[in-house]
Amino acid sequence: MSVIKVPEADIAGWTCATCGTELVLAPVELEYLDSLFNVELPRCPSCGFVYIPEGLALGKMHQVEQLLEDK
Amino acid sequence: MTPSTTEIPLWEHPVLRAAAGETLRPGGFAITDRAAALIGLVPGWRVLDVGSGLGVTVDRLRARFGVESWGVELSGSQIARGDARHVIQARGDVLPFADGTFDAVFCECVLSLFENPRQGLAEFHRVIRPQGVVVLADLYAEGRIESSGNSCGERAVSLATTRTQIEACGFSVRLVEDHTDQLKNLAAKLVFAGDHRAGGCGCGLGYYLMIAQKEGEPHGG
Repeated sequence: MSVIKVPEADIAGWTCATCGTELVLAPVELEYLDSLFNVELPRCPSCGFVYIPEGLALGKMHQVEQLLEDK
Repeated sequence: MTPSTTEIPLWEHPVLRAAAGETLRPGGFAITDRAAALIGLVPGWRVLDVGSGLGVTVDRLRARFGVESWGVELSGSQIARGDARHVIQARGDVLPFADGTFDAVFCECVLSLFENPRQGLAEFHRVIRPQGVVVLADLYAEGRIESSGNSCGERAVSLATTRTQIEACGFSVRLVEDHTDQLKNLAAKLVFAGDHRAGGCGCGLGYYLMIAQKEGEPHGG
């Protein structure tokens, strides 16, 4: 499955609060209902923590949820 | 003048390739492989993929099922971007093949874009041998009899309309399956990838697989 690049996923200036390591863009599997999406998101290379920007969570991810729920 | 991104049809836009992969359609090879298994595709069959895009389905059918597959594609840019070894540039409703050439015709996510789908189905019927099969997969819009507009979603018609058209052309429908989940999945990927048209791709529309058989006695039978 190809990795979808999301314009809102910007890593500039973000570090992991636990590790202090700079986040990197990495493929992350998002699962919702029966759908699986391979999306490139900011992730801590040390602990694997994934950061989802607020704009993405309230924008596209919300839109995707509504689409899959048929609302 | 350079066309804006909104003027480029979705099937020509890089965002579709990013979201759907090289098949450029909902379900990717999953629906193709399922249809191939359902119709009992066997090595040596002559198969035509109408609207073959980048030619990946033609290659898939050759590699996985050992058939002699060919594609026709109207868009020269799609042919240039893909594997053109077994693809001919032609309209899907004016096929450059003799009557009864093919054992099966595949047409996935393309028929709804035809100016006259019934004319296209009649042409499929002409190039398929008696008792050969047509595999259709496409968007549907329940309650819509006539298509309008230019996008896949706007041009989708109801399943009943397509069924009536295909039966009027001399096919018997053998199977209809709903794969709307695959359409929604692609629409969601398009949303992630940033295509503004994706919302319309998932609302009020469905996606079907239909397999129909040409009536008549087989050759030599």
